Amino acid sequence: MRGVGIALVVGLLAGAGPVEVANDGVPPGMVSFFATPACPAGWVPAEVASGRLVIAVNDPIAVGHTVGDALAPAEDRTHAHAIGGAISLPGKSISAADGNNDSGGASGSRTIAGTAGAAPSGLPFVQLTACVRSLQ
Amino acid sequence: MKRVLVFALIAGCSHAHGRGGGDAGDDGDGGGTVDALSLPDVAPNASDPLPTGAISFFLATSCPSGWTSYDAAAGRAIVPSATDPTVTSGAPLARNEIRAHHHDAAIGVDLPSTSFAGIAGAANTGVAGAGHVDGAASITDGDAALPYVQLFACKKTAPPNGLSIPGGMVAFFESACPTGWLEAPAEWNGRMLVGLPNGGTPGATFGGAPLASGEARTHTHPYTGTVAIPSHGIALVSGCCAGGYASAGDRTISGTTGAGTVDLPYVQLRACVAP
Repeated sequence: MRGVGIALVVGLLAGAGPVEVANDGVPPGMVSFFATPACPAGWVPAEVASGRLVIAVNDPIAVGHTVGDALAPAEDRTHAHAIGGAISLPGKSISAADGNNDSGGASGSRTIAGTAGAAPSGLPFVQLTACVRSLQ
Repeated sequence: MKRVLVFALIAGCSHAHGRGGGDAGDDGDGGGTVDALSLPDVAPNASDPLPTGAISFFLATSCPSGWTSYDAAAGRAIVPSATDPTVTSGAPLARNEIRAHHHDAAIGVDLPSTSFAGIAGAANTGVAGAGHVDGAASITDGDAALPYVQLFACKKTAPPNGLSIPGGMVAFFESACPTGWLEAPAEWNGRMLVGLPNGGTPGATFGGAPLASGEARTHTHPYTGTVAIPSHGIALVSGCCAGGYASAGDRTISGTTGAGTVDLPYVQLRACVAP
């Protein structure tokens, strides 16, 4: 199911005043990609970004919100569309009354029902280790 | 300075969604709320080792000391580019927006012929003519189902504090990589960055070919459908010599849609890796 998720805050600073951080001084809450297979000390996997693109925002209310279901490893997500429409079939005259021979197809407007089948977006991706600077 | 930190080792709890773009202060069209608390600055007057000009994401509702909101990226993904930083593609996404895209298609149906033992012409036009007939297709707009998370983007304004930076850390820049930083691997350029899923291979590339600078990538779909042709009874037996009439029955149509662009907006930036 696709949807917009809720980022559940499971860890928050408690209390007031400056908080001691690790030696590198990187601000807690920073989320970074890494060219390494694992997060360095003081960082933890950014689960919120797992299988997801990151959209930059400057809207505090949007931060941490997710849209859609996460990708599996190297998943080139596909999508489809419904297709409809109409075809107008012009009549071809004949010297006969209507009757019981039903082999002919009726003239008039006919509807189309179908699917524009699954296809990927065509966009290119690279999956990278994403980590968030933890509070230490 | 008050700063709200959304430190989330997050469980990605999903539920039904709207189309995004909810007003500020609401829950984002079913987008849920971030349970944020107003807290004092994490480290007032703190400094950090990131170079001036570094652009990074934060799971926080404002930028830390020494950083400012990087509005040029708002509503956009960041795509590494070694040659054309700051080039953008598409219009920014609204909050939680699920952007739809459109395809056109040319459709037609081939109607096989039948004939009657009578004479063509005169006034009964209840039967259609055989042959190819073009129609008008209507393809429902839809989204590409690409998942994303929204994170605050900030740009470093203060000087670095001289402490070491974790090796392999990636930061984005509007110009060349700072001294001591490395250009990101070339295979990252022109690609959307995805957080590594559990069990995934770091650095694996997939999907289409890398984007050209500012490219709005398109795609197509194969389509199939049916047209039901009901019968129209005629008071003649089948046979010679009134021909060229359409046969009744279901007809299949197939083809390829016109190109559509997913329109996932992005901004290109230099991706640099800490040594």
